[in-house]
Amino acid sequence: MGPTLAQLEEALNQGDAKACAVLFTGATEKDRQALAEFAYRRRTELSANSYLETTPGTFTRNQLLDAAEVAVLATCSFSQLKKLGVRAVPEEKIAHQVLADRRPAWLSDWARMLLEDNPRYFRLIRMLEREDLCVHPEIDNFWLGMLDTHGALGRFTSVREGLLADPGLLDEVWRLFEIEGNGEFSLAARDKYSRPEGKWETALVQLSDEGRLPRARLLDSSLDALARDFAQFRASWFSRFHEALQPTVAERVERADRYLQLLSSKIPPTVSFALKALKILDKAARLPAGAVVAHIGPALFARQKGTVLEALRLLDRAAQREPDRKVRVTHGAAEAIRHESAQVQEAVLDLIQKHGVPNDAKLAQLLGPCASELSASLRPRLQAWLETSEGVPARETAEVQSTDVRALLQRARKLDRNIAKLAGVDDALAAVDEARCTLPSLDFDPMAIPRLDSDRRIKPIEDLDELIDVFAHVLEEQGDPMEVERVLDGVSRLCDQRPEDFAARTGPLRKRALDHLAKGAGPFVGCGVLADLCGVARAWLSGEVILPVMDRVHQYDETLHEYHYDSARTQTGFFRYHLPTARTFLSRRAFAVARRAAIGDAAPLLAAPTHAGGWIDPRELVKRALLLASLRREGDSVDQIQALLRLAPDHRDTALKAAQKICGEFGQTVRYALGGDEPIGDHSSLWVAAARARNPCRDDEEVENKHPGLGPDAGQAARYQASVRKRAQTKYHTLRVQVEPPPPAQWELERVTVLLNPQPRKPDEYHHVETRESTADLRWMLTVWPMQLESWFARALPRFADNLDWWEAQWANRTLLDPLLDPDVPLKPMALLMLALGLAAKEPGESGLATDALIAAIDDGRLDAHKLGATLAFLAPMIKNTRLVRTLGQAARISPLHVHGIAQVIQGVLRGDPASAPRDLQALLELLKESLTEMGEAVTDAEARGYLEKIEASGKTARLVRELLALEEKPAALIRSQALLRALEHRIGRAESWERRLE
Amino acid sequence: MSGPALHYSYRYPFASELAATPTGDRLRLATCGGAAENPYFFQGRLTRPQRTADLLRGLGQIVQSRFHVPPAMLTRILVLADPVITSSDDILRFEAFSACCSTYARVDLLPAAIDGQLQGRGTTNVDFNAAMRAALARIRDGDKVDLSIGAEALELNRNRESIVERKVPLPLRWLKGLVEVQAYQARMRPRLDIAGADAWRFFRSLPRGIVKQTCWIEPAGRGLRVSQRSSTDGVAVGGMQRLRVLEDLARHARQLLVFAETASQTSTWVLVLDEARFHLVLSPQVWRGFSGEGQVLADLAGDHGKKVLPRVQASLKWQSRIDVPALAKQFSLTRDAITAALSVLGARGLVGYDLSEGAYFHRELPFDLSRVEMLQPRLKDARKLLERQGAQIIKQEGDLIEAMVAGTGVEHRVRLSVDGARCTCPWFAKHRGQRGPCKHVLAVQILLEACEEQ
Repeated sequence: MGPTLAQLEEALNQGDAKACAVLFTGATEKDRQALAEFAYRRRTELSANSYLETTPGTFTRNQLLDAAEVAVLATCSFSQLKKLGVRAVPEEKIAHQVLADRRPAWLSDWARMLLEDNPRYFRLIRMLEREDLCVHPEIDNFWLGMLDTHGALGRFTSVREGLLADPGLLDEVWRLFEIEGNGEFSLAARDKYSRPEGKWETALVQLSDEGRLPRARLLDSSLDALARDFAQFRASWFSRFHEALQPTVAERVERADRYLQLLSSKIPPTVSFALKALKILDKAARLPAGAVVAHIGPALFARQKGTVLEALRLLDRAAQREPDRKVRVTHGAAEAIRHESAQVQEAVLDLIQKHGVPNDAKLAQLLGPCASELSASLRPRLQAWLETSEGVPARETAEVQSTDVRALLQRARKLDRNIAKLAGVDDALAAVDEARCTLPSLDFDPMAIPRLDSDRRIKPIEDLDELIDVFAHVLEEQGDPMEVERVLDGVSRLCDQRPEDFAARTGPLRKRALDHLAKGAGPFVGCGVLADLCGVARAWLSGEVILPVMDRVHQYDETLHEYHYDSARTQTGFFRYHLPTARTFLSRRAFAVARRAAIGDAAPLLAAPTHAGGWIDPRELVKRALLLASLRREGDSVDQIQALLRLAPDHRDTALKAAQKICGEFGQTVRYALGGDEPIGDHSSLWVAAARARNPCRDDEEVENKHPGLGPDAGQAARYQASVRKRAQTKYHTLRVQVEPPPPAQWELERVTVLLNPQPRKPDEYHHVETRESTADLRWMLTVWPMQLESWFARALPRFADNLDWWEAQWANRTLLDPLLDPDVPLKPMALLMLALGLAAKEPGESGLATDALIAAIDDGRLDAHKLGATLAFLAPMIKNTRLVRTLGQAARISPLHVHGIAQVIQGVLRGDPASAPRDLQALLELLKESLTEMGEAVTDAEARGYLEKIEASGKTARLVRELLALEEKPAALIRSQALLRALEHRIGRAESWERRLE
Repeated sequence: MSGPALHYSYRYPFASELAATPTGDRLRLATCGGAAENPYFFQGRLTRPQRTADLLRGLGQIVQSRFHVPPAMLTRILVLADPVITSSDDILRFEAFSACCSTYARVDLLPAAIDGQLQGRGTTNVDFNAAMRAALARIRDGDKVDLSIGAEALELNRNRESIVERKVPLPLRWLKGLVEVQAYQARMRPRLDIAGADAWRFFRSLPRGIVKQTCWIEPAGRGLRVSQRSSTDGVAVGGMQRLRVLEDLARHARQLLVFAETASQTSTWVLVLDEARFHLVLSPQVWRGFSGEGQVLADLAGDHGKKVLPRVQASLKWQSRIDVPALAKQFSLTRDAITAALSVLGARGLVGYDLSEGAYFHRELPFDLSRVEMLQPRLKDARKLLERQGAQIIKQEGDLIEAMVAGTGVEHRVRLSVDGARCTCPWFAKHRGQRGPCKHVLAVQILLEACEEQ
């Protein structure tokens, strides 16, 4: 008689898995089926309580689960077990006991299902298989499970011991050479973190040495695996293993064809491996030259310089051994001349000069089209060789079209003289006259540039429908700060409109805002743009303005404060940085809008931008201020401060005249900001904003005298000093920025120009605020004070530098580089530091953005190449030249102007103590040599020349230094004219765009 | 991969292989599905064996790839679909789709690539097993390589014992993506055109790591460069690592053509060889498969093509280029009507789009696609909304139509006007119609058509 329901229930209630298994011993399938439904129900019920909180904060596995798992395995049908999946699998010994007793017909299917879910069930399935309870599951996870040395073979001290304990597994080993595996289960992944005795490589070599596994098959299987183009990491195990078997030359000779075939592999290390093996055969004179010539092709197209060079060496030796193959050798080698590396190109030319047959028309045809792509230093050599061959197309000649020059000069003449001077057109014209390639960079005053581009005027929201649409959009996408500003402005102006169907029309928006608030941080305390927008929506649509409440200082990090917020649905908790930031300032502005929106008190916003970038047309601000005055309303002080800081430099005189009618202290600050003379009032924050708007880069003595010691960018303009320090006990360096005047003891929310500067960090501070600023937050913060971005860069630099090697995925960091792309942002010291760091960043998005900025800055004349070079030299301890060469090289490919600029930048890098020159300097020098050769220039920077003369180098670096010092300037090189004309064209273009803004 | 799936069985009469024969190598590609159980399409010789082999390896790489899933999940996902091959007038087209539904590849073997005879027309699956793919690597251009696609009945009978059978759950989103990618291609316009050597250099300059952000590929001198800034000259590419598939193939190419659609940020990269073409179609991002973009939903929701569709479908006869003007003339319809019908037929897997030719081609995917259309989630949801009478037109003034549609705990306002459709739901707010209409807009459109019919 089988177990009863009561017995099963008792066993389940006790959570005794063993007792439960015993209960079913010898039971018939009918007895089991009778209890299946009950067991199934009990197991599914327990799923909701898989883990129980035994003590506060500590969760442990529900002890009743084990017995429930046994019960379902012992009773349920296969279809029920399929639904339960791994929830019906108890500990393996008990599972084995239950199944061995039950012996269901579906056991093989069940085993397959289990393995498909996870290879870790290998041991249980193997136990069943060895007892003929199930058939061998023919799925990859069976063999991958075998790899799990901790689970499958972990009882043994070594993989070898585990395999010998189950000798049948020795026959299964071969499948491991056929399946790739995955991140967790593969030979490479297993061996990477194992002790030597725990490695599969060690075990298989030992078993081969002992004669338990055939050596020849292991050698062949590893080559078979390499031919399968597994992912690089996983493929590398097989090449290592092949070499670990230490094949003899005779064994390698037998497999020469296989090595040759591996030259076609898509996996670069496999190609290198094959080349090494072929090199051994070549040295032993066992490699037929014909085979090399026939198969080497794919290796010549490899991206890796070393691989191509090795392939060329093999070809060289093949030609030496069998001279009648010289023609095919040179034709094959010619393919490699398209490689990017000058070293490879040089090796190709060496080989061709050594083995090339005179008047080989086909070879000339192969090489001819590549001449223009060749490194500048090698072009004359190739050209000389080509000229000795018949049937070579004539060298392409280019010249500057005189019509282009005339057209440019005509455009230049039409420009306003002041604008032309400001945009550096005059300098460029002088350089054209003197045929001088080096141009002074533009060092413009941000106040001198017109900013208001009519094409980029912000269109205010016109009606309620548009407001609802745009608001709904910014709740999903906050990336455009101008859209955020349009919404704030729209709510501020239209919040008194309440048509009958208002609730129906705004219902979805309200719901969405409340959904966000129930999940994230609370609004109005500086937690980000989304939270603030949701807070505004709630106020406008529900009439509720709820502020988060601070509960306490964080237990472990006193720079964090713990808050809670009543989101109308639930109470959410979140952290906030203890000091106010520009984000808090923006929150306060949103809060002011929310308070008015909640009561339907509509009014225009003073600080709503009139143009993209956050700029306000001064005339428009005056109009708004007068409108508010006519309505007998006072603007919010945060809005007033924000409005002053967004004042564009355009039309200030006109605005100043109109601003005479604005009353009160705000009126005084507006006039002062616009350049008027006013007595300094008492509202320190308003006057600080006015002083910074009046002239962002200079000290304002009057404001400083009245409101002294308020910190950087208050009365006094901030000055920065950067330093690179080595972190204690690490090889890493850190960048810190000191600001003068020093930061204040108390941070005042309304003095936002001070807040935009770097804040001192406590030594143990980990959760500093910057890392929690999203892309949208950063973009919004950029609009707070668009005129002066040095403080922005100074604050951003440590954050960016600390993640230069991308040890943490901080995707928002690339936003820090965005302002560099603006042609109207001057590249001052902090901006240059940011650009330099970006060029050396590991993350391709960051380095790519910096490269874009560099390309643009060379074109528009903002870049002082020597200053950037000096900045890179200053950062030398923390940046890698290999990365720098990549980004600078990309920029140099754009135009002759960029080649010249990059050559100047690199010369700027060559300063300091030559004795401590970085080890990876060679690549930089190579780029310098190619750039100078291309331009027909010499090393003209005295400091760089001195540096090169004193440097103690050997080998390739020493050769490069000699070649660099030997370079001489070529008179009137055409390419320099092209560079000059490009510079002139871009400067004229910029001047014309400024003129359009003034119209 | 979670979600509904079509359980499909591949049953090949033998495993595809590269076999040595006394006269050279023979690449035997096994077929299954389509009009016949194991169709026989081609027998002949490859004129440029290594290049063809490289192209097929590139195709295999796409089949194997899942560009945005952690590697730990790969084993389960890689058991996916084989490429399909279409044999039409004079072109053999191999199509493959990545497991993540974000990348589509097609190899067109033109007459110059193959020296032999087409034995039949149609579309079928082709076995692309790992051993065969690995063997392709050893083909050199000097080799003599025969290609057979399918086999004669006699040979099939001889090989009955070596049947290869594989059951694969083909996720519906994968199937949907495979058919919808055709609609994207039809909307793309030529953007970049550079020489093969410059293309090769460009692909080699791409960053090695994974680039998460959208980048813009723009002209720079004779070649291309990657920019992080949007530009009018540039083509937006998200998940740029997908382009690396072309790195090895570009050395064979004489030209690279890039087609793109700005609004959807999708692009097609075509490597043009003398005797073949390799198309790589990229979705806007690796995590945005073509299936979720909903570009054909409006066409599927409407029934304006009910009369045109059967006529256009009946005219399909395995053309390698469908002549739209000729069809328009034949049926006395506008070209737009024919194009719209072809777009819907594309969404049903009955035609593909060839950007190089600028024309649709007939091919019938060898899967049962009836469920795919039924299970378009947004379309299904829209119909459910209508079944529950969840949509109500509240205003109709001239071209402006307003409707209220039930949402989750709230009613959404849908407005249809000449400027397009608008909805107050978060989906619309986020994408503003760029990823197709939301279910609320679809529901109103279906409702309006139903009203018009009545």
